[in-house]
Amino acid sequence: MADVKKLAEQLKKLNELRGPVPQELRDRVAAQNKAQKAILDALKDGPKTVPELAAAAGLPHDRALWYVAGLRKYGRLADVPGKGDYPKYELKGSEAK
Amino acid sequence: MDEKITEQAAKENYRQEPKVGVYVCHCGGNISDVIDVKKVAEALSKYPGVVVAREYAFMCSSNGQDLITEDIKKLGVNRTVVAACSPSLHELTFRGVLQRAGVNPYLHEHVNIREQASWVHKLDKAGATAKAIKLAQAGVEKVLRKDALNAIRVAAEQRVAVIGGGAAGMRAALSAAGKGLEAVIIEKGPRLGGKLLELGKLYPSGEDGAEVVKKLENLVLAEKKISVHVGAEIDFVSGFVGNFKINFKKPDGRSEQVKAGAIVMATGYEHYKPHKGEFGYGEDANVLTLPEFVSLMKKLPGGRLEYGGREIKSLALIHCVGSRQVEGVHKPQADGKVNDYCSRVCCTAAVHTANQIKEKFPGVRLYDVYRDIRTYGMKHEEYYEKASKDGVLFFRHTETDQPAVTSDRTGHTIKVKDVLTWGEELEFKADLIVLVTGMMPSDISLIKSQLKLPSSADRFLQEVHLKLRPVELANAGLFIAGAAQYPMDSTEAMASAGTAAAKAGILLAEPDIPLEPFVAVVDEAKCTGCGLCPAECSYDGALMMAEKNGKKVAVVNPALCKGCGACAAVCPTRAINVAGWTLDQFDAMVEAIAKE
Amino acid sequence: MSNVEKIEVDALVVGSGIAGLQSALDLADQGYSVAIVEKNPSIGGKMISLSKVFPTLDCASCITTPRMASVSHHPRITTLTYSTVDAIKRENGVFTAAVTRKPRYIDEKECISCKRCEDVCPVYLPDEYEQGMGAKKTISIPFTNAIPQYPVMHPEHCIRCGACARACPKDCIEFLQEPAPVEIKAKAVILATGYETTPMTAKKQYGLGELPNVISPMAAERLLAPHGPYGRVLRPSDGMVPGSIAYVQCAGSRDKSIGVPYCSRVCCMYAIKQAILLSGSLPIADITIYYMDIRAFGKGYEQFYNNARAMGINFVKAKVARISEDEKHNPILRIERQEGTSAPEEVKHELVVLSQGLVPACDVSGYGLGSENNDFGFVKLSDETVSSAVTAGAGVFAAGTVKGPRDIPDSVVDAGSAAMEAVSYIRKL
Repeated sequence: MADVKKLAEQLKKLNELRGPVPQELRDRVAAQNKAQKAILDALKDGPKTVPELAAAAGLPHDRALWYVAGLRKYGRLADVPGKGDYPKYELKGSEAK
Repeated sequence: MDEKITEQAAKENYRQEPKVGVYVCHCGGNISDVIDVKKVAEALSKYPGVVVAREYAFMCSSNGQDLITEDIKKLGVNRTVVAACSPSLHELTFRGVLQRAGVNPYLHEHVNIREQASWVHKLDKAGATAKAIKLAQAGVEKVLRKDALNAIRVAAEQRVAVIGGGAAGMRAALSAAGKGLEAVIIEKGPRLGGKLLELGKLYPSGEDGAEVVKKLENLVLAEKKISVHVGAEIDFVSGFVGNFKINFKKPDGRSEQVKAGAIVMATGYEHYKPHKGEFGYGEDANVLTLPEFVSLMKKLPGGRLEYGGREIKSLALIHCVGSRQVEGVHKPQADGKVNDYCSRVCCTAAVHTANQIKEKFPGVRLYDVYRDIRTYGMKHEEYYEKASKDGVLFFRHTETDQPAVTSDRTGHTIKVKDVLTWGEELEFKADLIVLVTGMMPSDISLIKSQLKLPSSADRFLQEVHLKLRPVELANAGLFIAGAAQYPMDSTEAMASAGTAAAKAGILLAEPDIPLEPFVAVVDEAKCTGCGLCPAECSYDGALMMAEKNGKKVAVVNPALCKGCGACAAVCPTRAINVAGWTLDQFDAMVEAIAKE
Repeated sequence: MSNVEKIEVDALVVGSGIAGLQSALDLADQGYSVAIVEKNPSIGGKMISLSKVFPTLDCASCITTPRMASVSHHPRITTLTYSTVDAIKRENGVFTAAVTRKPRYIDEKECISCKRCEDVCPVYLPDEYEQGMGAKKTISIPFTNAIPQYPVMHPEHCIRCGACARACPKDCIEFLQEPAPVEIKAKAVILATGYETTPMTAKKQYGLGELPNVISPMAAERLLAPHGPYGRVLRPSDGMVPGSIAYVQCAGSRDKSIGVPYCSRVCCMYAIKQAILLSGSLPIADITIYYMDIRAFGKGYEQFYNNARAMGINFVKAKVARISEDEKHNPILRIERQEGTSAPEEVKHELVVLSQGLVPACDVSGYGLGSENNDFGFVKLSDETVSSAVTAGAGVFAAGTVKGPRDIPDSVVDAGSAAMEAVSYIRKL
């Protein structure tokens, strides 16, 4: 496991060298977290398509798809088998009840 | 890889109690989309003799290989079953893993659950999974009965024989000599150069074919390690990897033999010969093939194009003659097949010739009748564009609406249903018709039959795998260079020939060559000397009857035996087995599969 | 500097796509030592990211991974990934390359590729390996079968939360890692820097890359790949299964307006291949290929083309003049047919792939080794009638698409001859 002291020193040095974490990046991560949470929350009611998730999370369709792809890759949601023009997604692993 | 060290390690390993590791590959989704790979691994983990069974996305990847290496080190796995793709793709990959980890590489069994299960039972997932389990279990039974084998080593002649002295043959010999190998070119024609000698100006350099021959020939003659035989008529080729013998007659009638460790087939191509009456060819003097026209053009002075005592004011090029043929539309060759392949180089050759005609005989009207213009090379598009700019009229037809040529005293009339004018049936007249003929492989039937060389559906020599082993023939020690494999231009032939030499260089990198040990082995105690088996053997000298310890027995020459098993099949006493494929192994596999 | 890592080999191969890998193997298997320098974090080049390959439809991974593994296990091959060749000079017949290993911000000697850093990293980024369609993290392993399996950190996207370092069981996150210089001495150089596809932004008439459902062929490859961004074929604007897909041929080749007048050789075949794969994964989809000439000129290619036609893929001889979209992001193609009827018409599809051409990935003349470029930035051969690999620079050879567009079989064949020229050259030194 990580040496806590070494980590703290490294991060301190990093802040000195590069200055604080840019606000633009902080905002982007905050928006990401909000969008992901909205998508995962919407899925608690049952499987949904990308347009449905976009509507629930207030995102453009293409952004919603990108977040779905990311959450899918990292095991937080999964494909629901079945046919249709828009595939549905459901919660997976620790996200699912 | 140092085989000698690992061979020793492997011997130790073999004495240990068998511990089988089973590895089930997802092959991306090729297997796991159909087969429940977790279930297969779980079923196998409980099978007798198996100490570990795993599944992974790509067993062939570095990570996948590392899984096996770890199990060998940590769990003492000493035999492996990989249930994955076809053994032809990756058996060698996994043998390599065992070898690097100090296990005899032949204590591996490659079970094909892709071609034999997931791909053929796409709609029956449960059935495919059950079949994969059975196949893997049979694989375990087989690997438990495997012997630690060692590659057979044969001394190799450090010499490459190149059959054919055209551009590809000369380049192959030059590259082999560059690596330090002796190279012998055996050419049937009276001099080096092959088809290049007949060609006119080559694109893109604009040099005459004969000038290019001169350049290559000078390089060949300056190379001490290359010897050249021209006018040589090959009458017998025999032997096996490392030890081929090529017998040929010299122009003076004397016979000579060349011994070689590897053979490069640089036997080239022939121009397609239109049959009599194909667009009037052979019936009308004013219908020529492109090569015929090119050699005519070389001889003529510029200005007016005269042929047969008449001025040629208009000329039509017709593409795809002998290429991209359609069954039912075109007349088949003697073997009953049409030439359904594209000959690759003819489109560029045709438009390049059109450019030259416009330059040399500016007054000639040019027509070009084609299906698709395939000027794929870097500068080739420029020739096409120049032809258009210079006023060449292009007509495009479909495969089913072939153009037709009729001739009378006033000349030739070409009828074509032209898609460029939206399917209108057009007619035009031309004084000379040039058929843009394709390529066919040279007639090498004698060598092919003596060495049992494979051809593809297009009759050209068949490589093992277009991407993995693109210049190797299935017969070990035999390589292809140039248009013997498929139509290509001379630069492409340079690349192919250089690579053929590279593969020969790799093969002959050491003085002896390792061969697969899957050969017939005779149990002399069981052999009754009945003599049934030699009659079944298809490989000269591989199996003979001989006296041994005062007893007549069957004796195998491992360097010649291909392990086909024909001898094992007829042996009444089960005295012959093919190493790695014994009858006991098959019995156990069948039992495992048939078991409820 | 004394802390410069030094490597001495027979041959330096720049680039580790299929041509670079094959050249390296063909040299090493003949007993020569090789160093490969690759700018990306993994070897494998473009080919490893493809789905299946024509004309045999083998999966690209199945063919590339064993090559990659052979290279990485080869005792005579040293591989430097995520490294740039900054300069090469030749003195007294010896090449000296100044190479920089870019920092991955991990201790490569300690890393066990457990992926825990990636799992806990909270920042998602567009994954360029998935052509931006999928996501990766600020620290992540490039892709499933990457070699080596080291994660790479992108510090400009790091919020310095320290989660990766706390999750790492080997304590090998190195936030302060610096680029490391390497000096490679070699007797010969093989340039195998490959190609890029013409940019999506090249053509105003085709939407400058701003139409979400007009995608690149590399993106289409990822959609079709077994571990693609969506795990199935969906269109990027809204995750719909496309029912009507079109290919626009020569969208970046045979086109003087974008500086690519030549034919890119591979686009007809990859479009046909993708169309065949699409009709396998989307059996009811309509697939149309708009083309000028179909150039199926390799071994087995014409038959492959014929199979595609027999499968019901529509081949339409037409020029695509313009692409726009409707309010649902369905691309609308304005086409001028070259057969049937002449009137221009507008056709709607749900997904469009632009069959982009190939351009050089790297201007290798910048190394100043004497090798020359042709008009389009590809490496020129010194005399292509006698050799397919010798450039104008002494000891400098070229393999694969660095010399111009070519397909995988042609690149593999080409690589062997480049290796052989290097062997001949080294032996004569």
